Amino acid sequence: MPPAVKRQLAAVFDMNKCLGCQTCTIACKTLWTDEEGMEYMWWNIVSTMPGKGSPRDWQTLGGGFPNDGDPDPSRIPTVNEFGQAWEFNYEEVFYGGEGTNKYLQPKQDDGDWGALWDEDEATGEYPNAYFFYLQMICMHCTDPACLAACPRQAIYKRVDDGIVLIDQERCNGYRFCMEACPYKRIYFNHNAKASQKCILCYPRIEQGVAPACFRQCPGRVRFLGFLDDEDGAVHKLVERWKVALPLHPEYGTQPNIYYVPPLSPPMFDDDGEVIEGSERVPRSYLESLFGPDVNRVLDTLTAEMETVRGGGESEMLDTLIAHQWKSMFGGFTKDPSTLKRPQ
Amino acid sequence: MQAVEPGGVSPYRFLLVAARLGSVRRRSQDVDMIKAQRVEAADSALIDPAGSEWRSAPSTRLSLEPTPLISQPSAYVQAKWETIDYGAIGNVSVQALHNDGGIFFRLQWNDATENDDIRDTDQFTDAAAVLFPVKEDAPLTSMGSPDEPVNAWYWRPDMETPFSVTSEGTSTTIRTIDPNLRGNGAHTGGAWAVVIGRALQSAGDGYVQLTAGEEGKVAFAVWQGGNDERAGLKAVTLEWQPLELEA
Ligand code: SF4
Ligand code: SF4
Ligand code: SF4
Repeated sequence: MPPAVKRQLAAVFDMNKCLGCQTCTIACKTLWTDEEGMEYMWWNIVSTMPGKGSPRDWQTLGGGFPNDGDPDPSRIPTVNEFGQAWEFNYEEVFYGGEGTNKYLQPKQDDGDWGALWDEDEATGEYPNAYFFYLQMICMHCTDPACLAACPRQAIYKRVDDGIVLIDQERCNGYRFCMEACPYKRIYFNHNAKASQKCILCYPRIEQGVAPACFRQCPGRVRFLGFLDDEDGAVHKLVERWKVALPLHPEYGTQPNIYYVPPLSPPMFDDDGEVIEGSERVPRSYLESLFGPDVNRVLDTLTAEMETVRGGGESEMLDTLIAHQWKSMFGGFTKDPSTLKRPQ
Repeated sequence: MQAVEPGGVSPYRFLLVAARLGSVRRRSQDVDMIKAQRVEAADSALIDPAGSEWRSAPSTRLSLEPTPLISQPSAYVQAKWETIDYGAIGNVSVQALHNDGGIFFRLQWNDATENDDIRDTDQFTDAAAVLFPVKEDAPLTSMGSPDEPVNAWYWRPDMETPFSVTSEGTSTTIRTIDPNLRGNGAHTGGAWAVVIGRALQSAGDGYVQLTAGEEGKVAFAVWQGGNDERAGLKAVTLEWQPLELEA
């Protein structure tokens, strides 16, 4: 039985607008995970897809409730799979007079993986290669596998907004949650010996401010709001127009981050001519991420764009374009500089 | 959660037989008196697992069993560990001494792998605990009940001092720092030797109080970190062992 909530905060990430700049990633890092024991944590990360993601190959690790609600055994990703926090030879290159002889590199063996190891690596051959960005945070699931797996009931879902949190006092560092989360969004703090993850910036939410990674996104990718707020962009995109989809719905945890799937540029033939009606990103790949519904969504978006190109209007596209940033955040538009950071 | 009937047979014993048929390690649970002899020795001598006092202290070898799978408090843990053996440490040798001020338990068990620190996200440490009923009939398998709590002294090699763990049933454990609680462990020659000691009396919510000349009960648990054992995935004495503190 999923935990009961009065309302659910949700988000829509419009993958078509993402620049891959990782401003979101750094916004979260500087706000929440800059302490000892958290070096390798990226509560927010933007992965290049098709790609292995972070932790490496997380989509193959299992977890969640994919089979009739039964928990699927998984395992804990290692630090190397998440990607180590490398130390770089800044002193040597920038201040040691070696700038012309040495290049910037990790001080330790970088292994064969990092959190963004395959960033901007395309799939396919020029001129038809393709990739897109997938923005990952905790999905604040309606039926969180992490919560169900914890033998200490250290994980709870807030009744008023559905945010999923790990009680740092109750957490004993057993890490069953890290195994059970099918999105592999939980990290282990080696200093606190406790599990930690995205908190949807709840101290900001409580004061009417959108999360850091939402607010600082220069691409206006990230929409926030209560799912039942009929005036909010999130409700419209998810419930009314149904153009935002959960990632891997088959994992069974009912995630509350929804994605507007990526439209494709067309392919070129051998003569360099555009192949009309072709799409570079295979639908089958997108179906593997978002399920068969992705076809309907892409067709809807394409039709809507046709309408606008033909001089028509589209409230849906206007909403996605977000002419006014304040329209994106379901009322969570207070200026963060007026807040005090909690201790 | 079913409790072990006082003086009765644990219902889990039959489940265990069913669950672990074919396992080489299958034996009945011994119930042995643990006698804490009174000695004239400083705390600093007794907390040392290599200390000379321990050479002549009587030792009781107790067999340990995995906690039953059905008592694991989450469906995930049950699903994952249905096919994996846990409770890998088969027995522990226990000694106990007191010096009228403090009581010390020395636990020794064979363990070829020393897991003394969490070096990666998927690593767990070895650990051991001494468990007491705070009220006499507290159920062991469920880690106490709301009316009959239990108190454990939980030692881990990566932590400066042991925790005092109070519990009123499965999933209710609370860890506290008891300044009267100390621990010391060494892994040599393929075995852990660990001493966990505390003042006989220690003020704290849910802490067990012990008195020289009196009897009580005690149980033990050992976790094999190399087998990812943590939380309820452990090897335990399935019954309380009687404990006697020499006057
Ligand atoms: S994404 Fe993972 S960590 Fe976040 S609520 Fe869902 S199961 Fe839990
Ligand atoms: S919502 Fe807040 S805590 Fe979560 S990833 Fe974004 S910045 Fe980090
Ligand atoms: S979501 Fe926004 S901030 Fe993050 S990478 Fe994309 S454009 Fe940049």
